[in-house]
Amino acid sequence: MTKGGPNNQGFPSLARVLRTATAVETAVAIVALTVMTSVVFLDVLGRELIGQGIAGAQRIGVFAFVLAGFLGLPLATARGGHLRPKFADGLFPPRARSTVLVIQHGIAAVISLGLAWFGLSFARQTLTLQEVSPVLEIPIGLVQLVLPYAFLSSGLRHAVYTLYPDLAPDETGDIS
Amino acid sequence: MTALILLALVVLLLVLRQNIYVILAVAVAWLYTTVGRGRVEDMFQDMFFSVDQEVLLSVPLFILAGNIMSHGSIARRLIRVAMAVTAPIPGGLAVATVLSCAVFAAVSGSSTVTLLAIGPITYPALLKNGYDKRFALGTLCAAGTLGIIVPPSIPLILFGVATQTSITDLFVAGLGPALMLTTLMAGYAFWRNRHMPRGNWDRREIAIALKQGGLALFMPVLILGGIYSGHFTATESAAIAVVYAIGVEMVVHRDMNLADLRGAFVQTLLLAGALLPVLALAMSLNIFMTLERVPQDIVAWVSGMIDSKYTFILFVSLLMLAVGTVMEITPAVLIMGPLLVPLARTYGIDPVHFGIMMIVNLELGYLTPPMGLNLFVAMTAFREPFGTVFRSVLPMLALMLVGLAIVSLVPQLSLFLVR
Repeated sequence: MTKGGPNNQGFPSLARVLRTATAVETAVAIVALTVMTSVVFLDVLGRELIGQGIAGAQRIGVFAFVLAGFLGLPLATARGGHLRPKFADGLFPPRARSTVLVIQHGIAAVISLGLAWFGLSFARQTLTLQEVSPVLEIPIGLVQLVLPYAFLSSGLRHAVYTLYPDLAPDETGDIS
Repeated sequence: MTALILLALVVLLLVLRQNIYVILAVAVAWLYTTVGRGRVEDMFQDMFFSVDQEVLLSVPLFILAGNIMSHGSIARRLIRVAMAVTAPIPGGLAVATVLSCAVFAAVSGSSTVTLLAIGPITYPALLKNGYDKRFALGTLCAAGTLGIIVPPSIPLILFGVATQTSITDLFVAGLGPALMLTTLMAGYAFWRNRHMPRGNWDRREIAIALKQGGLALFMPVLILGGIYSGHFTATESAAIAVVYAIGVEMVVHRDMNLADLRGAFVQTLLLAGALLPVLALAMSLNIFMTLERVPQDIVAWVSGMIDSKYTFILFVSLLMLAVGTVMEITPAVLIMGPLLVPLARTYGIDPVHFGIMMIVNLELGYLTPPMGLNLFVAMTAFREPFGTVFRSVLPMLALMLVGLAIVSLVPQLSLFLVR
C-alpha cells in the first residue's frame, strides 16, 4: 500500500496514528454505506410488500451517502486513490521526483486545510441559523460538518506526507 | 485577465501533480471570490446542495454491486455461459469475451471493473486456444469500455445529474448504441478469427452453464427491467442490485465471505471518496456558471461561428476526443456536459442523444494515451508493455470510431425507445 507504509520503522507512532485514523474512518464509512443501502432497499421492500415505505428513507440515505462519500476522501488520500491528471508527470527529471513529491503534498496540505477552515465556517453558519432537515428533524449543520472533517483529515495526511515522504502512499491509479 | 490568471493557476497545479479535487477547489473558489464577488463559504453551500440529491445514491450503490460481483464468481459464471453458447462459431471464444464484457458491464456500470473481472479469466484462455496475443489484448481493452455505455452506466448517471436529463431516458437510450458497439466488436472478433477451429454444440455444457450462471444472468434483467418498466428508480434498482449480489455470492454460490464483502465496501468507499468531492465541486462550478450566464455566452459565441448541425457534431466529437485523452471521464462529463448541452439544443440535438454521443466519445478516451485508463489496467493486469497494449487496441479504436459516427449521425439509434 505504501512505499514505507504505515508499518515504516522510522515513524512508528505516526504510522500508528494514521493507521488508527484510517481504521476508524473506514468503520464509520462502512456503517454509513450499509445504512444507505439498507434504508433504500427496505423502503422498496416495504412499498412493494405492505404498500408503505420507510418514512424519511431518502433523507437518511442521502445523509448516509454524504457521510460515507466524504469520509472516503481521506481514505482515498491514504491509499493514493484520487483522480489525478498525469500527462505532465514527465516534465520533471527522475532525480527531482522526491522533491516534487514533497512540494505536491505540501501544496495539497495547505489547500485541503484551507478548505477545511472554510467548510467549518459554512457548517457553523448553518448551525447558527438552526436549519433542520424537514423530515428527520436533525440539524443539517451536523451533517455538513463531515465536509470540513474530510478536508481536515486529508490535509493532515498530506502534511504528514510532506514531512515524512516515506509514509506517503503510492498512487493506485485504479479509479474508474 | 482573470481567465488568464485562472488558466495559469490550473496549469501550475497540474504540473505540480495535484489531484483533480484540489485543482477544481482552487479554480472554483477563485471564480466565486473574484468573478462572482462571493465567499468561499458560498462554494460549500453549492457543493452541499449538489450532493444532497437522492439520485446520486445510485452511483456508490452501482459501484458497490460491481465490486461485490468482481470479488465473487458471477464473472466466471457469465463467461462459462457465453463460451458454451458461442462454441460452434469460428472464433467463438473471442465472441464470448466480447459478450461477457457486455453482460458484465450491464451489472457493474464500470469499464475497469469489467476489464478486471473478465480479463484475468478470458485472456489466458484466448492465448491457450491459439488466439493472437495482440488481438486478445485489444479485444479485452475495447470490450471493457462497454462498461460505460451499457446501462446502468455511472457516467450516464453523472451526465443526467449534471445536465438535469432523465437518467431512465439515458439508460433506455444507451441500449441501442451499446448493442451496436457490442455487435461491431463481436462481428470483428468473428471475422478476424473465422479460420479458427470451431467447437461443438454441447447441449449438456450449455445446460450446466445456464444452471450455474442463471442467477448471474438474471441480474441485468432485474436491474434494467425494474428501471425500464418504471417499477424502480435508478437508485432503488442499484440498492436491489447490491442486496441481490450479496445474496447470490454469499448465500447461493457461497463464493464470497465477510472479508471479501468488507473488501468490496472499502473499494467502493475509495472510489466514492475520489468521485464525490470532484462531483460536488464540478456541480458548484456549474451552478456558478449558470448564474453568470456562461452557457448562454458560449451558445452565442459558438453559434456565431458554426451554423451547421453536422459541423457542430464534428466539433464536439473532436473536442471530446481531445478531452478524453487528457481528462478522466468523471470531471469531463461533469464540467463539459452542462456547457455543451445548451449548445446542442440550439442545433436541434436532443439532450438524451447528446449524452449518449458524449459518453461514446469519452469511451474512446479509455483507449488513448496519455490517460487511457484501460491501457494501463491491461498493462498491469496482463503484464504486457505499454506499446504492445496500445498497438493492440488500434483496430478496435478504428471500429469504435465507426460506431461513434453511427451514434452521432443516427439519433434514432439512441432515441427509438425514448421518443
